[in-house]
Amino acid sequence: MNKNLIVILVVACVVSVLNVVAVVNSKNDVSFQSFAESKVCNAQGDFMPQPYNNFLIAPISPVKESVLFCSIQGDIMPPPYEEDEDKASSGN
Amino acid sequence: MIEFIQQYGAALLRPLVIIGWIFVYKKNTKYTYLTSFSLKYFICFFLIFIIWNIFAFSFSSNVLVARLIFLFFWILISIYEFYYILKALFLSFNAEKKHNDIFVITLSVLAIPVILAAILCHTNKTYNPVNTTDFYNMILLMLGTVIVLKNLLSYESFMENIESFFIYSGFVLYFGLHILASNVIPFGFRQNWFFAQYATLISLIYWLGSVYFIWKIRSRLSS
Repeated sequence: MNKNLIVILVVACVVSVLNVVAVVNSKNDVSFQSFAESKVCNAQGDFMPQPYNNFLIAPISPVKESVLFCSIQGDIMPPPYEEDEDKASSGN
Repeated sequence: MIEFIQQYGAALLRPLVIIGWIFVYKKNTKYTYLTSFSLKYFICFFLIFIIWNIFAFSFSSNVLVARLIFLFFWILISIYEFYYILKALFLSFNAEKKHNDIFVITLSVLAIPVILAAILCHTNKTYNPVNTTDFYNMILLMLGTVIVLKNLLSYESFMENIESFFIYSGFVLYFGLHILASNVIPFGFRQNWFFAQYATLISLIYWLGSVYFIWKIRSRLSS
């Protein structure tokens, strides 16, 4: 039998077992990440399903964030502009 | 405008991409078995998403039905992606016909967590199982796609499989970006979903642009 196919089968089995264990154990996880993931769907799809239990989601403010934070290419992000700093510099 | 792209960008781009790839499929008739398979199933992949979007849009007012529709199509698309990438893997190893039993066993093993996650999601009223399983699925699918690409470039003739190359490189982009998007905390809650939307959008733009390059390469080869 092809060695590659056995490797594929073994990898599929190992990951599936890990997956099932992670899904079952996720109930015992009390972290904030787990809480957030339990309310908001994060899987693939074009339309987001409604969060459970009317979980509040922060409104999006892309304009404000894009003004204050640098999001162009580079390895180290420059410090964001503070709104107060902006006002102070415009006042001078 | 930004919100419109976030909401409907991927859904609107899908029909355009499917038209482009049907054009690619009809343009040439001499394909290798792998490329012929890849093209047919790639078009079906988009068809499932389009049908999913029609249902999601139609039942968006009813939250309970919308969730059930999401879970049903999520199972369908996850198993379909496994079928697609696994079959391509077997084809690239020239082992599809001889070892059909291993193919069926592997696909069944991979389908178990997907179905279990959807059932737990529905019964426990939590998205945790679906989010966890989708993350694991994306890692597996990306690894599988990378191996398909490696086999495509090392064993097969690249010029005979240009379409397959663009399809699977797009899938590496799609799965890779979705792995990045699957961590809720760094990107915020709602922003995280939209990051995944942008990941889909980037992959769709790549696949749409590929149509032009395939057309150019094919016309240069035929002249």
